[in-house]
Amino acid sequence: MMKTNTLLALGLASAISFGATSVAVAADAHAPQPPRLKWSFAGPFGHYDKQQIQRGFKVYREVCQACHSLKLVAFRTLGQSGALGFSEGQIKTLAAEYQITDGPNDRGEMFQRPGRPSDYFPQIFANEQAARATHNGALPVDLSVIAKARTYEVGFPGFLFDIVRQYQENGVDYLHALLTGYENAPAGETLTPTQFWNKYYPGHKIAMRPPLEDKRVEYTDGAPQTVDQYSRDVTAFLMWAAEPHLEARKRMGFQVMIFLIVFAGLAYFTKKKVWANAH
Amino acid sequence: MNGDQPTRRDFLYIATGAVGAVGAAAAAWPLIHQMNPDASVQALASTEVDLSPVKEGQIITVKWRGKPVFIAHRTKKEIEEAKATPLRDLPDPQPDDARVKKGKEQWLVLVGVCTHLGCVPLGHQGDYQGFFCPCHGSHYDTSGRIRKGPAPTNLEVPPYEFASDTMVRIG
Amino acid sequence: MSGPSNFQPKSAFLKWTERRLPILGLMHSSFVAYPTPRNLNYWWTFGGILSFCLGVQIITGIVLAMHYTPTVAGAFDSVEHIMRDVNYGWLLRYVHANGASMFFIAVYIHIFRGMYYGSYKEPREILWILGVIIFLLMMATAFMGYVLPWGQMSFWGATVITNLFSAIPGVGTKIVELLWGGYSVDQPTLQRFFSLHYLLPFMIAGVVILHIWALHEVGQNNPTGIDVKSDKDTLAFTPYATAKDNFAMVCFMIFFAWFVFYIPNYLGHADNYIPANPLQTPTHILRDPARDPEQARRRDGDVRVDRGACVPAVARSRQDSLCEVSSAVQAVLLDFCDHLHRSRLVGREARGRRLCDRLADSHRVVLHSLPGRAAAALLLREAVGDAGVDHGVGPRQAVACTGQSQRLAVRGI
Repeated sequence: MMKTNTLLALGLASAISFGATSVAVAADAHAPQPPRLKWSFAGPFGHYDKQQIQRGFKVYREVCQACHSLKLVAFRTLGQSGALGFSEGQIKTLAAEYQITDGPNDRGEMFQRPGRPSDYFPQIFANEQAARATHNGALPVDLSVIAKARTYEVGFPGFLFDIVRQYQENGVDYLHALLTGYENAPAGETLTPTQFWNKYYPGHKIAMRPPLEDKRVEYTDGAPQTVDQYSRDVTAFLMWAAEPHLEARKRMGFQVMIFLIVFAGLAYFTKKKVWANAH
Repeated sequence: MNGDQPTRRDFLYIATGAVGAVGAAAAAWPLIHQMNPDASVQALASTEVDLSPVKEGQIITVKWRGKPVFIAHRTKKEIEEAKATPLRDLPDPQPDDARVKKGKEQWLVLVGVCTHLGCVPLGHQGDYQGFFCPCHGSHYDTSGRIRKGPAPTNLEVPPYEFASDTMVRIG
Repeated sequence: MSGPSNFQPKSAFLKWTERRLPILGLMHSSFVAYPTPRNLNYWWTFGGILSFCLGVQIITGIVLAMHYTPTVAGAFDSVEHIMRDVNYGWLLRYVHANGASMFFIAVYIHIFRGMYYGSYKEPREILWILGVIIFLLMMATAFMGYVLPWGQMSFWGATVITNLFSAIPGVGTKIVELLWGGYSVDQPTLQRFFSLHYLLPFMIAGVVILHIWALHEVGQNNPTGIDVKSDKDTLAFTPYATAKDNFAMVCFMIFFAWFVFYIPNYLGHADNYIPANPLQTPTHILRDPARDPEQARRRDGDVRVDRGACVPAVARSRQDSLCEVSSAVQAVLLDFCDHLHRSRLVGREARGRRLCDRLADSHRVVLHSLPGRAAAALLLREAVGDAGVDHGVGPRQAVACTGQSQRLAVRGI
């Protein structure tokens, strides 16, 4: 019986893994795998490094924000638990720096007013067409959930190990790799003036010009002002933007796991006791 | 089953049952709490209103937390009437100065929801020329206090403060 | 349902109730006194686990529907609103999304168990058919649920799967337009999918009741495949089966919680965090050209999205599903044949039965190394195993079964 059970289990495992393979992304075969970095928010006790996501927010504001919106993120959330740790006053000041379209007023017109904490980061372009028109037809995407909307293919059997390793940083690893992956086009490849060569971008020809360069954003906390560090920081910030309740989730996960393991133990011994009568 | 360990067995059953019950209760909480006002609703809990266009004797209605809020620019006569009313005449005794901000007596801010069953009262109507609820005939005075009819309490005064002389923040 | 119920209401109130609505007696006979074979192993606990899964999906689903907006403009944002603002919304959504996957993992195990131990055989045919209906309803529900977040995978999944119907000659296009409520997957499609996604789980629950009824009418199969003969072979459902099911369920919850809390997006697809765009198919939704030259040719020659051709991430191609259908038909035929054969084998001896089982086990070892052919392999095993060993089977049957196995061999199964 043991043997047949094991076989059945193996059969199921292979069936499940087959299903998962077909779900895996069939990305461009030429793009190399992004390196897996160490992130403070990885693993069962992961949490955001407040310093880091504050720096990342600075990078977003000074660089990315020129083209990329963050329209699902409300200013108020910058101060909530597991976020950037801004005070209420800081958030008010920050929100007021943005102009929000409101209205209509009594005359039936829309008007601009300074942002409030309850507002969301404003759209940068009126609509998709306007955004494309100013970017040679390319669309600068909204970054609210970008850290969850990007990934890369992990082949067999790696994707199975990723379940055990709790690897869920595909998106951030890709984004960091993308931001640091600009290089000269290899010989034989021609680029139009609005295309750039990126090692990690599927198809390599990306419309986004290299956004970062060393010393572009000033850090006051002594962190290195390098493209690599900027990329890590802004990516960590975008992870927060995409998953603002990550800390609460992992904290609760630990509690639930402890509870379930205790409960499983009790249930097991209860079952044993009950079945001890079955003679 | 040997009969000399019934207590241990019972303890095990009770412990398992208790842990299971705790788990079920803990799992029920998110299902209930999700119905409470969410973060975006809470964030919109305050409204700022510019009072400069509101003339004396005028009542404007603004929306706060999805409910109507009356902002009445009271006349001197209305204020005096409200102040002169003896407390013993009131079903829900409350002096007028407890219902307005000191030095801003001309501004009466009220949640425009009848305390009886939630209809919206009409301004400048009723026996006391304050507010009158058409649903079941509750009469409120110029301070929004119940004087006659089925409503049990005065019209509610929402939390508010003056950000400046002409700007009030409700909530 | 079945089973000897010795339920005696104790209090006067319960007696009063029981005379008028014998629901307590029904519960008692179904879930307390109901006799279960004492040799059931842990593969039999997945029925209970599936009830748990259905309950979790219905409860979290009702709760999510309180915050979700089924509009093209608002669906994606309302899901993000749930994730960001609603109290514990992230938990509810992740439980619901991962719960769907858990439901399918559990149901596959449940089905494999049924196939492996022959739980579909006489007298459990209706039980099996009801299970298949539940499975079909589950797939429909899950498919429509996947459309609701209105991401790229939602949209293109809906487009491609509904387009499968366009292959029906003559009326295909009409049917697809009927499903869509328009000329593409759009607002009417999303809204009706939401409505049906809310409805179908309750239909599943109804069929589950029939499934349990049918089960309790004939009693459970057990690992030996030979039905219990007397009370000595059974134990009361409560406490024996419930204690065992409970332990298995908690273990399953640990597996479930691992995904929900630590890798909640693992089973999902990153593209579904991109809002639906009817003008752009996700690049990788097309098959990898290296693996599928036909697709590459098609893509090079004609950029138009071929209706229902290949969407590995959402479903198999039409050809694959046709292949599956035909192998299922084969399995049913084989089963019928096997069933006819087995009905002659009544009254065999215990000794012979054990020998038969042992031989069957050795076949399992070989045949399970053939992935994707489990059902046919199992049937083959049983046909050959029984014929080869058993007791009083005439040469005609043995020859018939060998012929069967040859046919299978020819087909490369």
